[in-house]
Amino acid sequence: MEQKEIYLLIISASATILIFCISLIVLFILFQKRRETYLRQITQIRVEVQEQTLKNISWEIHDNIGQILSTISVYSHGLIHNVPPEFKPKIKESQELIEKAIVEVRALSKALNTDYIKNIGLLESVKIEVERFNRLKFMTTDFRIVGDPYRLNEEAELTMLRILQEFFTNTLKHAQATHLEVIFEYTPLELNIKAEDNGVGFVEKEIRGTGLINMKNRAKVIGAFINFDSKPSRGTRLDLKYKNKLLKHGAN
Amino acid sequence: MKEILVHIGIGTEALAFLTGMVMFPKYKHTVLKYFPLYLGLVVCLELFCLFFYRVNNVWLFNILTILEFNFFAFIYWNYFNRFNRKTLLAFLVVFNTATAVTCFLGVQKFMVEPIYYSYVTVAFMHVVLIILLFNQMLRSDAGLDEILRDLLFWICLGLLIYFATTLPIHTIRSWEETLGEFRHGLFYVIFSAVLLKNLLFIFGFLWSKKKYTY
Repeated sequence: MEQKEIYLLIISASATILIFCISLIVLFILFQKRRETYLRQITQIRVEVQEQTLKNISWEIHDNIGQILSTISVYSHGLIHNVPPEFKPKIKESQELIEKAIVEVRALSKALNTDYIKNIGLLESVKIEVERFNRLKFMTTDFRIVGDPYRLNEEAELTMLRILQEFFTNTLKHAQATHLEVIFEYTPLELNIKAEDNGVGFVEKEIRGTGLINMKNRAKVIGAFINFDSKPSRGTRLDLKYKNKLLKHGAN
Repeated sequence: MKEILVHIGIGTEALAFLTGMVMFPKYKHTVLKYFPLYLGLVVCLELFCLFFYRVNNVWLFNILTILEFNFFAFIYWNYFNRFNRKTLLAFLVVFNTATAVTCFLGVQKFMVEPIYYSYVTVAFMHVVLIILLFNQMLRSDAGLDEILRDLLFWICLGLLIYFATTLPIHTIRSWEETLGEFRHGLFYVIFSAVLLKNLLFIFGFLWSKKKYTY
């Protein structure tokens, strides 16, 4: 074989293998993109189904349990005039407990109701959640707002609230925390939310539950930045950032 | 001209090493923390051979080839799943045994000429292992953005392009005998592959994130 032919053969072999590898990478990227789109759609559908379920539960709590408690309250008010005086303090106490239960049931119903949350917004919803923890003496809380608050799009607000609710639930259930600090920092460009507890912390690799994955997936759906910073015995910190996409429309 | 290109090639290798050192905190928690060691070794060897040991230095590069494959095998091992580890182990055994036996029997003259069979084997095995790694990434939960922010992806991409391009070139035993004047053309191909590989390493060091956060 001529030297030139060998040279051309080697060059074409190199080019062929290189093109094959590059095609492989391109296919890899395209496949990954398509897969991600499907996964995002599935997550979105799952979130929608969850929201619908929560809404149904919220209606049930409000219309069913709430009504029953209200009826008991009305009966007890009628009862108090027809009982011997020694029973009155007990009935009064029961009435107070029923009133408390009605307030809690309503708060819970509101926290679960998508339409209500969309109506009052993320900030107010988180405030209600945090106040509930204080009221029920689950832990002490510190809620701060920095900057001028503004509304984001409804879906993003709802998703961020669900992420925070999941974080709060983890703080209550697993972290054994006594204090929770939540900071909402509004800048013209983005909303930075920091939530930090003083609980037992965790090592991310050792976590078996789906809570963290759910939070990350939810953040992915709305394109939010999410980061967990935790070390055993040093508490957990959640950083959640969302770009103010309405800024452009507001400027117009 | 050729001399200048050699200097540029070594320069990009040194730049990749320096970038790797500067960006070290990004990946010091992963097994890739050993990668700058490899880059540093390559740069030192190239510079040593360029300025102090220009002739009969082929045995040093033969040692580097063997070390390099075993080093990357160690890196892949830490990322591979159980199935891919079996393939890697088989490749490791085949490569090391075959290299040792052929050098011992004199099929490859380790001290005086490049170990071509081992070069070709290394290139082929690297291409296969990187494809296996990409396949594993594809099946993982990681999204595309996450993969593209991973230093491992850019290192593998650089190696894949380098070994895929140079695989057929390594099959030639004597460039001068086989190709005559045409050998210069192949030099430019190898130079381009080295340049691209190092640029991908540098890009990977700069673009990768310590922890992916969406």
